[in-house]
Amino acid sequence: MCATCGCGEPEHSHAHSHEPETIDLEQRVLAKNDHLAGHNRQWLADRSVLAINLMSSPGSGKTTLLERTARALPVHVIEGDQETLFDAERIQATGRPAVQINTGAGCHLDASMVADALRRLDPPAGGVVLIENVGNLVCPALFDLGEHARVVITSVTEGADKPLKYPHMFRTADLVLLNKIDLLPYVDFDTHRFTDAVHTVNPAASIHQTSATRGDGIDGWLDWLHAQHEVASPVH
Amino acid sequence: MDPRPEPGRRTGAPGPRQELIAVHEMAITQSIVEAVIEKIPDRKVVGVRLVIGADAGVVADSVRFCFELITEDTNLAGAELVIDEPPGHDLRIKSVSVERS
Repeated sequence: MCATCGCGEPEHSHAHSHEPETIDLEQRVLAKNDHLAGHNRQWLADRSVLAINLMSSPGSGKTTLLERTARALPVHVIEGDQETLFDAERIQATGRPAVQINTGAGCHLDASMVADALRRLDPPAGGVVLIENVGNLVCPALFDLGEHARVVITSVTEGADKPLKYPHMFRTADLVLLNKIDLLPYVDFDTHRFTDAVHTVNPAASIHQTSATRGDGIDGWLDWLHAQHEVASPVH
Repeated sequence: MDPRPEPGRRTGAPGPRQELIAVHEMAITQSIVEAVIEKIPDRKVVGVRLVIGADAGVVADSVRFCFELITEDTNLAGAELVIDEPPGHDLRIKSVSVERS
């Protein structure tokens, strides 16, 4: 009897040609983005250009912080939004170059978009590029852009437990800026709870308080940028 | 009205959070489908096995929804999607099943 199909015939071959063939791929889903991010990193290194990826929820004050930064330092800016040129225009009004990326339905910047924007922006050797990601605490965390460091901006009008609610975003941050601290007297925001929450998901993250509108803490933020720049661009 | 978001809701107007998650997984699923087509351009793919770690930042259920939309009119149309969800950050296409030629 055939042991495979149980028929009365002697043992015979069963070529199951109708059964699908399984092919092992073992491929990381973000491999392509990571590969392109590697190219961006090399492109930046070849020019000794520092690139910082700034991420936050909408309305945390990213663009206001960038306007203030652009008035203090000769930065180049990449603005990511789903629609409009508003943010790039705000940066350009400070006299600094800015390129807008509109992602349409997309909720994050990816390495390919940034590659294109870097070439359009054409920063000089030794320059600083600030990349304002799409306002969203979920999606941008997954996409490496080729940046040197990641900054997450939160404002005191948001909940102090945001780092626990959006751990992916805070886990990858090198620096967390707590913005709008001029509003602290008017809102129920516990800065100690916030600090604890950040360090729960990311013990290594630095936290720095700012008010982009009033100017508090801006010197500390610029010092941090200078320190990053010295690492990325030691000769400039 | 219940203010809580309905998990896994797929019909009707998306809430703001729902919309963000949907587009995010859309991009991820798009890269999965593109990667499979790049490897297997000309054979009928009948199954795809993914690993989406619990801490990968990707919602498996949203990927299932996007997968069906994105694979329409490709050689992956109708393919069965199996997702393993172990602990950790792994985000990987494990294997595909293709019809024998």
